[in-house]
Amino acid sequence: MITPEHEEMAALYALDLLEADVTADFEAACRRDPALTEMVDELRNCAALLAYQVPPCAPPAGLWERIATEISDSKKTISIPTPPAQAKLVFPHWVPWALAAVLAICCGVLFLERQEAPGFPAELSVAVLSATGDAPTAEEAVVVWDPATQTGRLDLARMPRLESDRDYQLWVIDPRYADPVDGGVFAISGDGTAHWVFHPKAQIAGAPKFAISIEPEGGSVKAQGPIIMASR
Amino acid sequence: MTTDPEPASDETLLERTGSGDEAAFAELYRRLAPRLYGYLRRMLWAEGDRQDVLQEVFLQIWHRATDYRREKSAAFTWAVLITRGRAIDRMRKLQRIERLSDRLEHESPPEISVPEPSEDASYAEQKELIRSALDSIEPENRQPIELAFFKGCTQQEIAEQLQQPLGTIKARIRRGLLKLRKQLLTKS
Repeated sequence: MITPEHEEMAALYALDLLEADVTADFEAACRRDPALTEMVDELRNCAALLAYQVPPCAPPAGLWERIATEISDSKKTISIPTPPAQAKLVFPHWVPWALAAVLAICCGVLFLERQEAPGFPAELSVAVLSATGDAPTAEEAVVVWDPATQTGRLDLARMPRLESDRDYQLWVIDPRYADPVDGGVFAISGDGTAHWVFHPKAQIAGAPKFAISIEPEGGSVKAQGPIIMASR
Repeated sequence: MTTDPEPASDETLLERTGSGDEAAFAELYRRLAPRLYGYLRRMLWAEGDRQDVLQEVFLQIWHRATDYRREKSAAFTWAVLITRGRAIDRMRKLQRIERLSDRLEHESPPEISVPEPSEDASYAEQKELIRSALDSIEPENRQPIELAFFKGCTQQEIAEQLQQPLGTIKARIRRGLLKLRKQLLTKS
């Protein structure tokens, strides 16, 4: 039985007018009473229909291109590259879970860092790097990138150690720059893992791509050594 | 003689968008964006905010189209609810509830391409249905609903603007919205 009081709250809730201090109680009441939930949905849909009264107006030129570009960039960055046929890898069953855990930790870390930063939240992007050739590398590396804070985090495992006069260096590929932007040199721990937070040397726009090369000890200003891993 | 196939409904386009169909998404944008943008012009004063919100709305539609259930609402309604939520978020974030003043009425909106006749007919039919349902609601009950929906006013702001006690405003919103629902159910 829906009371007149609940009817009033449903109407206010449907228009986002319910006061914050009673919203939680009302939502709890909705969870207990499917009929009340149905009423809220119906009222909300009815209210939304008022938008039919507004004359249509063409959005600014270029807006669709911005949307399409953003979607295209996010797809490119998130897509997981297919390993080359001749070097097909068979992952142990725990690898996807481990990768998921790493991603979750990365997102969590960046999220917590974000809480301390002012400004609006932005979308994190995730890039998976895979081997570009036959050189021994980690099976996969993951970069979580936060464009708002210009901060990224690289996580990888089972990366071979290099000779003492060589270092791995991360590069950030932003099409606005002629050369890859230096993401810094990172160290591999004794167990072959790296968990590294980096800040590129230049401002990066959108959802960039990433690459790892082998450079002389201390790194290079411009990538010189072989690129061994890259995102697509 | 063959006839052109029936154009896909907004609902079908939205479902195809959920499957990653970019062409369906582009067509959905062509159909819905002018109406959602028109709505945002009523909600938000700053042009930059309107454009940002419309972009956010369509990115959300792209990413969340799989959540859409046609048995729960029409595609347009679903999109309007997303738009409204985003616009209200923007207002609150900016800590300014700036609405279009009378001068908006003196602006000339840019021309838009004329929709396909079948789409136009469908929207015109819906618009007429809503208009007729709204006309059956007493003005004193309709006004606070429109202030909330089109201008994002809070209860308090509505009460101040209409110079009525808060309790009266709440009761009027309840009566108005319940009647709108009843009228729409009857007419449809």
